[in-house]
Amino acid sequence: MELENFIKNFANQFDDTDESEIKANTEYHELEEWSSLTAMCVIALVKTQYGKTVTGREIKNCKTVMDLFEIVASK
Amino acid sequence: MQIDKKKEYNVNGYVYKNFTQLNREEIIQVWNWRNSPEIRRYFYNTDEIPLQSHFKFIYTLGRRNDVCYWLVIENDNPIGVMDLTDIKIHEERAEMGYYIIPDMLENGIGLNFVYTNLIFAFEKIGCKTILGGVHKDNRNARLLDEYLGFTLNENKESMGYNISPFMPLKIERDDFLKYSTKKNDIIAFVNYLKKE
Repeated sequence: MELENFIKNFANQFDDTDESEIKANTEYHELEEWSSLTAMCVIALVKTQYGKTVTGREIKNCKTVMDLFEIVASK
Repeated sequence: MQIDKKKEYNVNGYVYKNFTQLNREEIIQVWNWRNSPEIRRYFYNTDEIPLQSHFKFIYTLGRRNDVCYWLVIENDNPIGVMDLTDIKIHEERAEMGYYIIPDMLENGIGLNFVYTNLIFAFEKIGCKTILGGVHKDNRNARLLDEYLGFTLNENKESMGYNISPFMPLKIERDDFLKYSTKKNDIIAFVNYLKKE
């Protein structure tokens, strides 16, 4: 599981946010397009692409894309 | 249709604790959530409620049979509130309301939360028909409700019928239970969203 690939997949969950805006240190809750539906897309992404389960509480507790990557990688 | 106000119901990993059983601290927590702008903006009544009125309201719930409110808890942490109002015991019908607490908003728990609320209302409480009203601007809730099987209610049964920004909704137990298998599967829901 590579960070670069994870960031790319994460960025693909957004319709209007440019991919270049999403970096490892991006605080995703602060993105204008972030919503409960984006969060669900990210949960589904982690399940389908990485075969792991990330919870709503983990999504809440992580600040940056890197934080989330580390949680997923540790599972 | 039967409601035991003293019972904590366990459904799908959630605990439903009746408002009549809340301690003072929990009652104040609920009051803070209910009054937060991101929550009350989608209510029928968007006014802020004074704490004293809130305490009075909770106190009256003990002797009322037409409304019931529960705090929804997951792993010892509150995640939301679910209510049944305008309860018609003999018709096995009620209007359902819900909200996720501000702290847990936008974290992807909505699908499982609403799905579990429906399972709770149909299977544990015994509702046959559930009515609802969704704010037209609340796109996420509208999509969720529609995905889970709510349909537009053409009859004037729902309280939301006469309140302009709300769409009156309805869902029947038999339909929901027939088509609900794995409806809380987030991958299926995301695929549904992408088709919308």
